[in-house]
Amino acid sequence: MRQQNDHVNMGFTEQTFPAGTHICLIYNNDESERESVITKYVAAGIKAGEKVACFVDALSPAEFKEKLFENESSIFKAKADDQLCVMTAKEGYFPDGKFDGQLKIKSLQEFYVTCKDEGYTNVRGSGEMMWATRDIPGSTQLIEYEARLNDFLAVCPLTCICQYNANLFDGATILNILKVHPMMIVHGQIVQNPYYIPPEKFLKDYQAARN
Amino acid sequence: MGFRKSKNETEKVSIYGQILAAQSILYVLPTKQQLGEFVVEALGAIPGIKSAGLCIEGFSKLCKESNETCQDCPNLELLIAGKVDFFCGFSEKEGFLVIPYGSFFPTLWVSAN
Repeated sequence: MRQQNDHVNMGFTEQTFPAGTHICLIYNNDESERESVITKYVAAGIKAGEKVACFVDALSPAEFKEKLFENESSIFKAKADDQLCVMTAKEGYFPDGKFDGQLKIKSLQEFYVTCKDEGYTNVRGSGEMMWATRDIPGSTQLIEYEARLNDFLAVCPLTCICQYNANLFDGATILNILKVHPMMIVHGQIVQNPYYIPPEKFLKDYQAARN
Repeated sequence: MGFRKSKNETEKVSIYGQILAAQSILYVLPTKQQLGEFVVEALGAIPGIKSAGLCIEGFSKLCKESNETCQDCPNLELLIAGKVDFFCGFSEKEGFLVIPYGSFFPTLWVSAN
Protein backbone atom coordinates (compact mmCIF):
# COMPACT_ATOMS: atom_id res chain seq x y z
CA MET A 1 0.00 0.00 0.00
CA ARG A 2 2.92 2.35 0.71
CA GLN A 3 4.16 4.42 -2.22
CA GLN A 4 7.90 4.96 -2.21
CA ASN A 5 9.47 8.43 -2.42
CA ASP A 6 6.16 10.08 -1.70
CA HIS A 7 7.16 13.20 0.20
CA VAL A 8 4.74 15.74 1.60
CA ASN A 9 5.00 19.42 2.46
CA MET A 10 4.27 20.10 6.13
CA GLY A 11 3.54 23.79 5.60
CA PHE A 12 5.54 25.17 8.54
CA THR A 13 8.99 24.04 7.40
CA GLU A 14 10.65 24.05 3.99
CA GLN A 15 11.74 20.42 4.24
CA THR A 16 9.48 17.72 2.85
CA PHE A 17 8.99 14.41 4.63
CA PRO A 18 7.88 10.92 3.59
CA ALA A 19 4.14 10.37 3.73
CA GLY A 20 3.33 8.45 6.89
CA THR A 21 5.75 10.39 9.10
CA HIS A 22 4.65 10.16 12.73
CA ILE A 23 5.46 13.33 14.65
CA CYS A 24 4.83 14.57 18.17
CA LEU A 25 4.35 18.18 19.11
CA ILE A 26 4.90 18.76 22.83
CA TYR A 27 3.81 22.25 23.75
CA ASN A 28 3.12 24.28 26.86
CA ASN A 29 0.53 26.99 27.39
CA ASP A 30 1.81 28.94 24.41
CA GLU A 31 -1.15 28.13 22.18
CA SER A 32 0.00 30.53 19.47
CA GLU A 33 2.97 28.35 18.45
CA ARG A 34 0.81 25.21 18.40
CA GLU A 35 -1.95 26.91 16.40
CA SER A 36 0.57 28.28 13.93
CA VAL A 37 2.12 24.85 13.31
CA ILE A 38 -1.19 23.00 13.03
CA THR A 39 -3.03 25.52 10.84
CA LYS A 40 -0.07 25.67 8.42
CA TYR A 41 0.14 21.87 8.40
CA VAL A 42 -3.58 21.49 7.67
CA ALA A 43 -3.59 24.27 5.06
CA ALA A 44 -0.59 22.70 3.27
CA GLY A 45 -2.45 19.40 3.09
CA ILE A 46 -5.54 21.02 1.59
CA LYS A 47 -3.47 22.99 -0.92
CA ALA A 48 -1.66 19.78 -1.94
CA GLY A 49 -4.99 18.05 -2.61
CA GLU A 50 -4.72 15.68 0.35
CA LYS A 51 -7.49 14.44 2.61
CA VAL A 52 -7.04 15.97 6.07
CA ALA A 53 -8.54 14.83 9.37
CA CYS A 54 -8.30 16.82 12.61
CA PHE A 55 -9.38 15.82 16.09
CA VAL A 56 -9.69 19.02 18.08
CA ASP A 57 -10.14 19.68 21.77
CA ALA A 58 -9.06 23.17 22.85
CA LEU A 59 -11.33 24.69 20.21
CA SER A 60 -14.61 23.42 18.78
CA PRO A 61 -14.54 22.20 15.16
CA ALA A 62 -16.26 25.44 14.08
CA GLU A 63 -13.73 27.60 15.96
CA PHE A 64 -10.84 25.60 14.51
CA LYS A 65 -12.14 26.12 10.96
CA GLU A 66 -12.57 29.83 11.66
CA LYS A 67 -8.88 30.05 12.70
CA LEU A 68 -7.84 28.03 9.68
CA PHE A 69 -9.80 30.16 7.22
CA GLU A 70 -8.36 33.47 8.47
CA ASN A 71 -6.55 35.05 5.52
CA GLU A 72 -7.39 32.18 3.18
CA SER A 73 -9.15 32.54 -0.19
CA SER A 74 -12.64 31.38 -1.10
CA ILE A 75 -11.03 28.77 -3.37
CA PHE A 76 -9.21 27.37 -0.34
CA LYS A 77 -12.47 27.28 1.64
CA ALA A 78 -14.24 25.44 -1.17
CA LYS A 79 -11.43 22.87 -1.32
CA ALA A 80 -11.56 22.49 2.45
CA ASP A 81 -15.28 21.71 2.30
CA ASP A 82 -14.40 18.54 0.40
CA GLN A 83 -11.01 17.64 1.82
CA LEU A 84 -11.13 18.62 5.48
CA CYS A 85 -12.77 16.56 8.17
CA VAL A 86 -12.76 18.18 11.64
CA MET A 87 -14.26 16.45 14.63
CA THR A 88 -13.95 16.59 18.38
CA ALA A 89 -11.40 14.44 20.20
CA LYS A 90 -14.32 12.51 21.69
CA GLU A 91 -15.71 11.70 18.24
CA GLY A 92 -12.25 10.78 17.03
CA TYR A 93 -10.83 8.77 19.92
CA PHE A 94 -13.60 7.56 22.19
CA PRO A 95 -16.95 7.91 20.40
CA ASP A 96 -18.59 5.33 22.69
CA GLY A 97 -17.07 6.81 25.84
CA LYS A 98 -14.17 4.33 25.91
CA PHE A 99 -10.84 4.44 24.08
CA ASP A 100 -9.78 1.26 22.33
CA GLY A 101 -6.39 1.51 20.62
CA GLN A 102 -6.95 -1.43 18.29
CA LEU A 103 -10.35 -0.10 17.18
CA LYS A 104 -8.85 3.32 16.60
CA ILE A 105 -6.14 1.89 14.37
CA LYS A 106 -8.78 -0.13 12.51
CA SER A 107 -10.86 3.01 11.96
CA LEU A 108 -7.77 4.87 10.72
CA GLN A 109 -7.09 2.04 8.30
CA GLU A 110 -10.67 2.21 6.97
CA PHE A 111 -10.38 5.99 6.67
CA TYR A 112 -7.08 5.69 4.80
CA VAL A 113 -8.37 3.04 2.38
CA THR A 114 -11.55 5.05 1.70
CA CYS A 115 -9.49 8.18 0.97
CA LYS A 116 -7.26 6.27 -1.44
CA ASP A 117 -10.34 4.78 -3.13
CA GLU A 118 -11.68 8.32 -3.52
CA GLY A 119 -8.49 9.21 -5.39
CA TYR A 120 -6.56 11.18 -2.79
CA THR A 121 -2.81 10.92 -3.31
CA ASN A 122 -2.04 11.39 0.36
CA VAL A 123 -3.80 11.56 3.69
CA ARG A 124 -2.77 13.50 6.79
CA GLY A 125 -4.17 14.02 10.23
CA SER A 126 -3.60 15.60 13.58
CA GLY A 127 -5.03 15.09 17.02
CA GLU A 128 -4.98 16.86 20.36
CA MET A 129 -4.30 14.25 23.02
CA MET A 130 -5.29 16.02 26.23
CA TRP A 131 -8.43 13.87 26.48
CA ALA A 132 -6.09 11.11 27.72
CA THR A 133 -5.63 12.95 31.03
CA ARG A 134 -9.37 12.97 31.81
CA ASP A 135 -9.67 9.39 33.11
CA ILE A 136 -11.50 8.25 29.99
CA PRO A 137 -11.84 4.43 30.18
CA GLY A 138 -9.12 2.86 28.07
CA SER A 139 -6.93 5.97 28.08
CA THR A 140 -4.13 3.97 29.74
CA GLN A 141 -3.71 2.28 26.33
CA LEU A 142 -2.51 5.57 24.84
CA ILE A 143 1.24 4.89 24.80
CA GLU A 144 0.77 1.35 23.46
CA TYR A 145 -1.59 2.71 20.79
CA GLU A 146 0.99 5.32 19.75
CA ALA A 147 3.70 2.62 19.55
CA ARG A 148 1.50 0.29 17.44
CA LEU A 149 0.57 3.22 15.20
CA ASN A 150 4.13 3.11 13.82
CA ASP A 151 3.55 -0.40 12.45
CA PHE A 152 0.25 0.73 10.92
CA LEU A 153 1.84 3.81 9.32
CA ALA A 154 4.51 1.66 7.70
CA VAL A 155 1.71 -0.01 5.72
CA CYS A 156 -0.78 2.87 5.44
CA PRO A 157 1.32 6.05 5.26
CA LEU A 158 -1.03 8.51 6.88
CA THR A 159 1.07 11.48 7.95
CA CYS A 160 0.22 12.57 11.47
CA ILE A 161 1.07 15.07 14.18
CA CYS A 162 0.06 14.13 17.73
CA GLN A 163 -0.29 17.17 19.98
CA TYR A 164 0.58 16.86 23.67
CA ASN A 165 0.09 19.62 26.21
CA ALA A 166 3.07 19.37 28.58
CA ASN A 167 1.04 20.98 31.36
CA LEU A 168 -1.22 17.95 31.57
CA PHE A 169 1.14 14.97 31.39
CA ASP A 170 3.70 13.91 33.99
CA GLY A 171 7.39 13.93 33.08
CA ALA A 172 7.72 10.13 32.81
CA THR A 173 4.77 10.00 30.38
CA ILE A 174 6.34 12.79 28.31
CA LEU A 175 9.45 10.61 27.95
CA ASN A 176 7.31 7.64 26.88
CA ILE A 177 5.54 9.87 24.35
CA LEU A 178 8.95 10.70 22.89
CA LYS A 179 9.89 7.01 22.74
CA VAL A 180 6.98 6.20 20.41
CA HIS A 181 7.29 9.07 17.90
CA PRO A 182 10.10 8.80 15.32
CA MET A 183 10.05 12.55 14.71
CA MET A 184 9.44 15.54 16.96
CA ILE A 185 8.82 19.23 16.51
CA VAL A 186 11.39 21.45 18.23
CA HIS A 187 11.07 25.21 17.92
CA GLY A 188 8.92 24.87 14.82
CA GLN A 189 11.24 22.42 13.05
CA ILE A 190 10.76 18.70 12.51
CA VAL A 191 13.75 16.75 13.78
CA GLN A 192 14.58 13.10 14.16
CA ASN A 193 13.74 12.01 17.69
CA PRO A 194 16.76 10.40 19.39
CA TYR A 195 14.49 8.86 22.06
CA TYR A 196 12.46 6.86 19.54
CA ILE A 197 12.39 3.10 20.06
CA PRO A 198 10.91 0.81 17.36
CA PRO A 199 7.49 -0.55 18.47
CA GLU A 200 8.48 -4.18 18.94
CA LYS A 201 11.29 -3.36 21.37
CA PHE A 202 9.41 -0.54 23.05
CA LEU A 203 6.30 -2.63 23.71
CA LYS A 204 8.35 -5.50 25.11
CA ASP A 205 10.11 -3.17 27.60
CA TYR A 206 6.98 -1.14 28.35
CA GLN A 207 4.82 -4.16 29.09
CA ALA A 208 7.56 -5.74 31.21
CA ALA A 209 7.88 -2.54 33.25
CA ARG A 210 4.11 -2.39 33.82
CA ASN A 211 3.83 -6.01 34.99
CA MET B 1 39.25 4.45 8.25
CA GLY B 2 35.97 5.26 6.60
CA PHE B 3 32.81 7.26 6.90
CA ARG B 4 30.80 4.47 8.47
CA LYS B 5 30.39 4.95 12.22
CA SER B 6 31.10 2.08 14.57
CA LYS B 7 28.29 0.84 16.83
CA ASN B 8 29.96 2.55 19.76
CA GLU B 9 30.17 5.88 17.91
CA THR B 10 26.55 5.59 16.80
CA GLU B 11 25.51 4.98 20.40
CA LYS B 12 27.51 8.02 21.56
CA VAL B 13 25.86 10.22 18.93
CA SER B 14 22.47 8.90 20.00
CA ILE B 15 23.18 9.77 23.64
CA TYR B 16 24.33 13.29 22.73
CA GLY B 17 21.15 13.60 20.65
CA GLN B 18 19.05 12.52 23.59
CA ILE B 19 20.69 15.08 25.87
CA LEU B 20 20.15 17.87 23.32
CA ALA B 21 16.54 16.79 22.76
CA ALA B 22 15.95 16.68 26.51
CA GLN B 23 17.04 20.31 26.77
CA SER B 24 14.37 21.25 24.21
CA ILE B 25 11.71 19.39 26.15
CA LEU B 26 12.73 20.96 29.49
CA TYR B 27 11.64 24.30 28.02
CA VAL B 28 8.02 23.21 27.86
CA LEU B 29 7.74 21.36 31.17
CA PRO B 30 5.98 23.80 33.48
CA THR B 31 6.57 22.41 36.99
CA LYS B 32 9.56 21.20 38.97
CA GLN B 33 7.82 17.88 39.48
CA GLN B 34 7.33 17.28 35.74
CA LEU B 35 10.85 18.45 35.04
CA GLY B 36 12.26 16.13 37.71
CA GLU B 37 10.25 13.12 36.52
CA PHE B 38 11.38 13.69 32.95
CA VAL B 39 15.06 14.24 33.75
CA VAL B 40 15.28 11.17 35.98
CA GLU B 41 13.57 8.89 33.47
CA ALA B 42 15.63 10.34 30.62
CA LEU B 43 18.90 9.81 32.52
CA GLY B 44 17.83 6.30 33.49
CA ALA B 45 17.27 5.48 29.80
CA ILE B 46 20.89 6.23 28.85
CA PRO B 47 22.91 3.04 28.20
CA GLY B 48 25.25 2.29 31.11
CA ILE B 49 23.16 4.06 33.73
CA LYS B 50 21.45 1.65 36.10
CA SER B 51 19.49 4.20 38.03
CA ALA B 52 19.28 7.93 38.46
CA GLY B 53 18.00 10.38 41.01
CA LEU B 54 17.49 14.08 41.18
CA CYS B 55 16.94 16.64 43.93
CA ILE B 56 15.72 20.04 43.02
CA GLU B 57 14.72 22.68 45.52
CA GLY B 58 12.15 20.84 47.57
CA PHE B 59 11.62 18.00 45.17
CA SER B 60 13.34 14.64 45.08
CA LYS B 61 12.85 11.86 42.56
CA LEU B 62 14.54 8.54 41.96
CA CYS B 63 14.34 6.19 39.01
CA LYS B 64 11.91 3.31 39.62
CA GLU B 65 14.64 0.71 39.23
CA SER B 66 16.58 2.07 42.19
CA ASN B 67 16.39 0.45 45.61
CA GLU B 68 17.87 3.55 47.18
CA THR B 69 15.72 6.22 48.71
CA CYS B 70 16.08 9.91 49.48
CA GLN B 71 13.07 10.01 51.76
CA ASP B 72 15.06 10.18 55.00
CA CYS B 73 17.86 12.36 53.69
CA PRO B 74 18.45 15.18 56.22
CA ASN B 75 20.23 17.21 53.57
CA LEU B 76 17.02 17.69 51.65
CA GLU B 77 16.06 20.27 54.26
CA LEU B 78 19.25 22.19 53.45
CA LEU B 79 18.40 22.04 49.79
CA ILE B 80 14.91 23.28 50.45
CA ALA B 81 16.37 26.11 52.51
CA GLY B 82 18.65 27.02 49.58
CA LYS B 83 21.92 26.29 51.40
CA VAL B 84 24.76 26.07 48.91
CA ASP B 85 26.80 23.57 50.91
CA PHE B 86 24.30 20.82 50.28
CA PHE B 87 25.85 17.38 50.38
CA CYS B 88 24.44 14.27 48.75
CA GLY B 89 25.00 10.99 50.58
CA PHE B 90 25.18 9.11 47.29
CA SER B 91 28.56 10.72 46.56
CA GLU B 92 30.17 8.42 49.17
CA LYS B 93 28.79 5.26 47.60
CA GLU B 94 30.80 3.23 45.14
CA GLY B 95 29.65 3.44 41.54
CA PHE B 96 27.64 6.63 42.07
CA LEU B 97 28.32 9.94 40.42
CA VAL B 98 26.87 13.10 41.93
CA ILE B 99 26.71 16.15 39.70
CA PRO B 100 25.84 19.59 41.03
CA TYR B 101 24.06 21.38 38.25
CA GLY B 102 23.51 25.12 37.98
CA SER B 103 20.05 26.05 36.79
CA PHE B 104 17.31 28.64 37.15
CA PHE B 105 16.64 27.03 40.50
CA PRO B 106 19.17 27.44 43.36
CA THR B 107 20.73 23.98 43.08
CA LEU B 108 20.08 20.87 41.08
CA TRP B 109 21.73 17.59 42.01
CA VAL B 110 21.84 14.51 39.89
CA SER B 111 23.16 11.19 41.06
CA ALA B 112 23.59 8.18 38.90
CA ASN B 113 25.34 4.84 39.10
